[in-house]
Amino acid sequence: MQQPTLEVCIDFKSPYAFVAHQLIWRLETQYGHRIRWHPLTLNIASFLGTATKRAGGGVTETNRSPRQWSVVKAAYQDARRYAENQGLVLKGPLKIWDSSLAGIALLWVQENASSRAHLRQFMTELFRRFWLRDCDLEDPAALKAIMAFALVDCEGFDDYALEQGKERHDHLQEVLLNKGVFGVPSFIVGKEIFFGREHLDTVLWRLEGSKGPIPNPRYPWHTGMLDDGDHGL
Amino acid sequence: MTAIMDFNHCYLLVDLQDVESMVALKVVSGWAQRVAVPVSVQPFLKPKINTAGDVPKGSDAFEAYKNKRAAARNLVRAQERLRDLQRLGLTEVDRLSPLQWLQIHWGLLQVAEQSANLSMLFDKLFAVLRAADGRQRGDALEILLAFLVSDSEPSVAFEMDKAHRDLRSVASAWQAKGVLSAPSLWLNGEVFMGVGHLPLITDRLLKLGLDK
Repeated sequence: MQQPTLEVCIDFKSPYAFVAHQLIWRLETQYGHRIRWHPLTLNIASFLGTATKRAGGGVTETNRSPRQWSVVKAAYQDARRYAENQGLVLKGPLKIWDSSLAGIALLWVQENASSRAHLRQFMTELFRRFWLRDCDLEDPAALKAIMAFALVDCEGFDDYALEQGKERHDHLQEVLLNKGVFGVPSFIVGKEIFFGREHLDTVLWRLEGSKGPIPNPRYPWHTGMLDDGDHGL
Repeated sequence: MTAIMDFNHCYLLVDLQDVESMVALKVVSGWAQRVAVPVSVQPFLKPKINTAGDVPKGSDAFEAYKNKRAAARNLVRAQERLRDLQRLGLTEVDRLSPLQWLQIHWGLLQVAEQSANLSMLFDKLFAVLRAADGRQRGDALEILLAFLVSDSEPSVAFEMDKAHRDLRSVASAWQAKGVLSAPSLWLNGEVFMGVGHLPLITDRLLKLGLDK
């Protein structure tokens, strides 16, 4: 029987995608389910409003409601718990970034990296620098520097970003939204969509043929949790 | 009202009309036995948060995107609900009347202070949801409500208006503590949205020195 394919949608500006990234890779490196990565560029203004902060703290401009602020604060508090546990630094962004160029860079690297390890290194480094507030996601030069760091050829990226890559990215947004993908990380297995890393056990269970009881949702906490087979908790 | 929060005591906030909360109750009841931690279940009846509803109206394209995103979200929620039903071994949850749900949630409040035996609670509630017909459901509901209210001290009688008031008051108290939605877990001043945080919470408890 043919193995189901695994498509994973991420956005580099999502704290949830950041803390899920390394765990998701394990589905490929440890379980052999090759991942097709899709950039989903979230339009955050459409569901959480907008806000700009100054570096020292303090909001300079916003149209967010108190309810939206509560959700945003809870999301960052939650993502930080998991980032710290993985030894990652997560500094809240000072504005809502347009991450479409970074998404196009992901498409480029996925096509041009000489190995999956190079793709992984690119993604890891981009996430790391962005959440350290050390990468301008809207600057092609910053993205090309990370490609160079990951030993990915970036010759031709500028044209790709303006033409073919942009076209592919924009088309993908339509396709993914029409399929039902609205947030990140999302996992597409056949016609099913799983939103959030708490479903990693279930995604793996589905990919491995849905044997035994369906796992319960849980956020991976310690390393090796995907392997413990303890889905019931 | 008495204090509803103790340190080193875990609270599970639920809206049992939502299948996700039922799954949470099932999972947490197994976990509480395993880690030997007292857990109280309390109702948290608030509509699901829709932050998109607070976004000011924008261009036609922006509004079209918002609508498409909302449709996508509903689709994924429906899929997740089916998986939750599968987790419970059900194909559908029989509908109870609003009054019956009110009685159940109010009943939960009566045992909230005593950390009801979660697996017994889940079993009795599950019997209501699994009942084949109205008569069986009525019997199961009677058993559940007797279980909930018999533990209360002093014993109290159900009054609809008071039940609504009590449930609103409890939800407001939890909201003031940062709870946004059900199911959520609360431990020592920290809110954990969803049921998936049990591995983290176990770790926190182990660090507090509680035996596994």
